[in-house]
Amino acid sequence: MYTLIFLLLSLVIHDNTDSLIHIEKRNYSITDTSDFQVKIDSIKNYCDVINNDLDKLITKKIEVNELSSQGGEAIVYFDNNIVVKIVIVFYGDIGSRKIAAYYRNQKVVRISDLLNKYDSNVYEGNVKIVQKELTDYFFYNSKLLMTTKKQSNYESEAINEDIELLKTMELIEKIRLKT
Amino acid sequence: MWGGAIGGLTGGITGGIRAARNGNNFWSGNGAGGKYGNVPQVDVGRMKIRNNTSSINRGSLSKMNPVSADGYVPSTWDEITNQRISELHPKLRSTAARFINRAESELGINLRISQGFRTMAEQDALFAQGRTIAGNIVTNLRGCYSYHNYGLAFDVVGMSNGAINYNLNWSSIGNLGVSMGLEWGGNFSSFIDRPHFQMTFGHTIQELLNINF
Repeated sequence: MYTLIFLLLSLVIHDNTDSLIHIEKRNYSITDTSDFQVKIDSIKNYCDVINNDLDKLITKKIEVNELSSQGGEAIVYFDNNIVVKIVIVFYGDIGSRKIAAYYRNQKVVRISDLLNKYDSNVYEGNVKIVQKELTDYFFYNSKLLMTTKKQSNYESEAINEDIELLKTMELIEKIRLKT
Repeated sequence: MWGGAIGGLTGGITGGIRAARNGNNFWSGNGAGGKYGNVPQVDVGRMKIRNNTSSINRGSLSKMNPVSADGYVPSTWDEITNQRISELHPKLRSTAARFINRAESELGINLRISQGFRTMAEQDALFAQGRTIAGNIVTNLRGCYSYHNYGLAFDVVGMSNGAINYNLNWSSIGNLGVSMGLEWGGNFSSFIDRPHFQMTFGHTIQELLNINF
């Protein structure tokens, strides 16, 4: 009986260790893992508060039509003249993408990236969304703390994913600076 | 030397807008309008075209023009593609045809241009989706605001035994297009649009709107 419990505990610990090592390999430096979940929960709560108060915030719309084949727009939310959230929607010929970035003390704390894929090209009319892929990124002190993206075991793919994230952050920052 | 090329481009674009607003098909002036046919055009009242070409960056246009000197447009393996190439901007036709042919000969992929020129009415109809008519919002661009409206963009699909195939080696296709001077939607950092290719000649949409009418 005790042996079985010990084995199960070992498996659980082993899994956790693996995931932490994997994150560290990708240089997502986690200096303090003891309050890891506390930080994530704190960010989630902060985002919930913003989303509950969206109608009370001042907004600014920005056209971003030149960046994708079917254009797009960004909505920037301000609280006391400080950006707290940016939502960007890009439309393409075969899908769309909605990015929501949350800011606390003018630093990004979360990026939610939703990719919608259509069943056909838009010019064929009445397209349906056949696939949705949501990825969340949580940041602490401007460093990536956690992502829900399934991480690749291949170094080259992992690097590409990091580059994609950096491109996304660059896009968001460009729009933030426009305000 | 470049005057002819620039004149051809500006004349083509403005002629195309004029044709589209008059209800004709874009460059060719014939009635083959694809799925939507030769639909009546709507007047885009907010479109302001000035008699002013000073905003066009002519220097960058001449440097970026990758069209062969003879402007020869070869036929491709696919009649539908040939028809759609004939509706593209004249300066893009040769590159588009050679791109399709090189994909076939070098990559062994039969590509079809699934859409090239899109009329302003078609673009406005897309814009209406999810706003004034049922469906999902699929675009933020009204008529005149897409490179497709100027014949400067096209989308491709693979064809295998008469069936559409999106499961392609897009990286190779995209790299081939880029090597020929095309911009590839697969390189967009906003939304990755692998079937999309465009050649803007360095022009923004705003510049295209301002070209002499």
